Amino acid sequence: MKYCEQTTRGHEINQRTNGACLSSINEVIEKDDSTKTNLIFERDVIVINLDEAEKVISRGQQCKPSKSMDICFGLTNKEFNLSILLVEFRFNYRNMKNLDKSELDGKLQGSKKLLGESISIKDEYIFIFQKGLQQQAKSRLQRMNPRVPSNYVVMNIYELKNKYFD
Amino acid sequence: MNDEEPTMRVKIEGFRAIGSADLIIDGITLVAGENGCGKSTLSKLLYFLYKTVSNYDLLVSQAAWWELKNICYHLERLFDFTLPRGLSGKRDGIEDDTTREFNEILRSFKSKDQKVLSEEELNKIMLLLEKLEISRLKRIGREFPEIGGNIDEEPDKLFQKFREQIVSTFKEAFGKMQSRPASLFWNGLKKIFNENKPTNFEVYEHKDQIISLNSIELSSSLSVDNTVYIDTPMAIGIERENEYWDDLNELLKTKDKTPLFQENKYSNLSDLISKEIIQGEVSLKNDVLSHKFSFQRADGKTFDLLECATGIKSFSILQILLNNGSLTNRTLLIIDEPESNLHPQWIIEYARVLVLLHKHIGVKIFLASHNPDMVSAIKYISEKQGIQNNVNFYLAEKTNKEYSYNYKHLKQDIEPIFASFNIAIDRINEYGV
Repeated sequence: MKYCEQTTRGHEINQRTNGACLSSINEVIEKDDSTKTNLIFERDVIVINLDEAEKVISRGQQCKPSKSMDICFGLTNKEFNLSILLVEFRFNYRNMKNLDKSELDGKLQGSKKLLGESISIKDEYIFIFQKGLQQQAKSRLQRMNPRVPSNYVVMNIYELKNKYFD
Repeated sequence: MNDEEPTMRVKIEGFRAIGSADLIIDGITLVAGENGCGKSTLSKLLYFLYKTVSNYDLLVSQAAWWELKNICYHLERLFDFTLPRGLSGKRDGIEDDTTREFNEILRSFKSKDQKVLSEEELNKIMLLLEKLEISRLKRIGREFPEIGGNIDEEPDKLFQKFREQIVSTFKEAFGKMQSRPASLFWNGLKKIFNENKPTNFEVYEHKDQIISLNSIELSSSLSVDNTVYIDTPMAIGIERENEYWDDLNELLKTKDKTPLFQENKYSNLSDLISKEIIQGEVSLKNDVLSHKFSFQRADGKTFDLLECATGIKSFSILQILLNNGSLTNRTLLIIDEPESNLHPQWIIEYARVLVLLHKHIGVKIFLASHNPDMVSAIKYISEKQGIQNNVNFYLAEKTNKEYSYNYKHLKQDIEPIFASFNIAIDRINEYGV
């Protein structure tokens, strides 16, 4: 499955937030990546900024925002199957000491709750690390106890682009 | 350090599983790779090279003493015959200067850790032989006064032969010490590995070549004057198992030779091991017959170190070597799989001690490791200690040729090592839930 702008823009979360959570992927990356080495997308790649969506929704409900993944976007294939891919950026992790399974689990749960069930969420959750730290992150995640499930997938930004955008 | 030419550079091609390796040893060098990729071969090769380079004269001397072993046997018998005996035919127990000197020489002949041969030693032996000869002839004269010393001429010829052989063995050894032929290294290497020479082998220190395949002589080292090889902490206290364990135990039994001005640096690191890690202190009791390593726990209880946990032994080895001054800025410390037998927490502590050994004392360290925590800890603790530029990582990568690996220089990037470790994780995901 590949990135689908139409599915991304058409998700119900955009209606609930009046489109406030739509963002270019580079804008989100830029905020997370102090090295600025991961801005490899075209400007017009539109994604859903889940932090922004969570802020708008929680403000409307007058409650504390839940934790969520950084972005999501729509996927489709030749058979027009649709799904939503959840992605978390971890570019500023110099080493792995702050990786915490319960925090990651919390972000996933928060994101699923936020997005609802209008479009199924892909059962593969992507964690993006700097290219030079990706294998260490994968090692760290998989050697945690309790073990992080194998559908928590560690990638670098080039792999994400290659797999879902090119 | 870190000028254009590294402190040590070892290039090797075509030796056992090593397809090619071009290693820099400028601080801490860590090689990683799967089983059978030649990591231990590299460790042993480096150890044997630097053992030969820095102990050349001693190794030549040991070989010479070995050659003189037969003469030793004959001299012993001859001396026995020469000693005055009582009416019962037994020795009368007189120990004069000659006896004492003779016994001292015999001990040198038989002992494993002889000193380097010298002209002084040769003169001493010659003088002793002369005394023996006179003593023997006198005895013959006493027992057979009618014929005096003319009973036969054989003893003279025998002594002459001994003298000639001893002198020629000494002179040959002196010649080797002078010219340092590389054959001593190559012959030893063949004995250890039972293999032909590598297809390429070059070792440099800064710009100076220590050895290559074409070298006639083995140069002296400017950077290393002692080499320590730890292939397993189980070696402590166990002797006559193999050469490496014997060498390590010899070092562990060394008396303190720490220069006074360095003592603080050493004791700080030793305290760190005692107080922050193993919660106790190791000591060596030497008596005439044996050497015993003891571990005194912080609560005062004392144990035989040989009976202690292997992790305690791992740190104890470093502590003993530190305390007796065997780890200096001219030491090459080679450790195979330092993580073996260590709890994950202690793997990190061990890495920390190694980093501090390099930072504060300047020990050059070569590690072969399989462990993600060891690799991470060496990298990140070195960064925190500001010595990251002295650290070099290598990964053994399979070549197209069967059983052959090339060692890729990763500098400070450990990602490729983790990619290889992570194959295990993929297997867990494949075979597990």
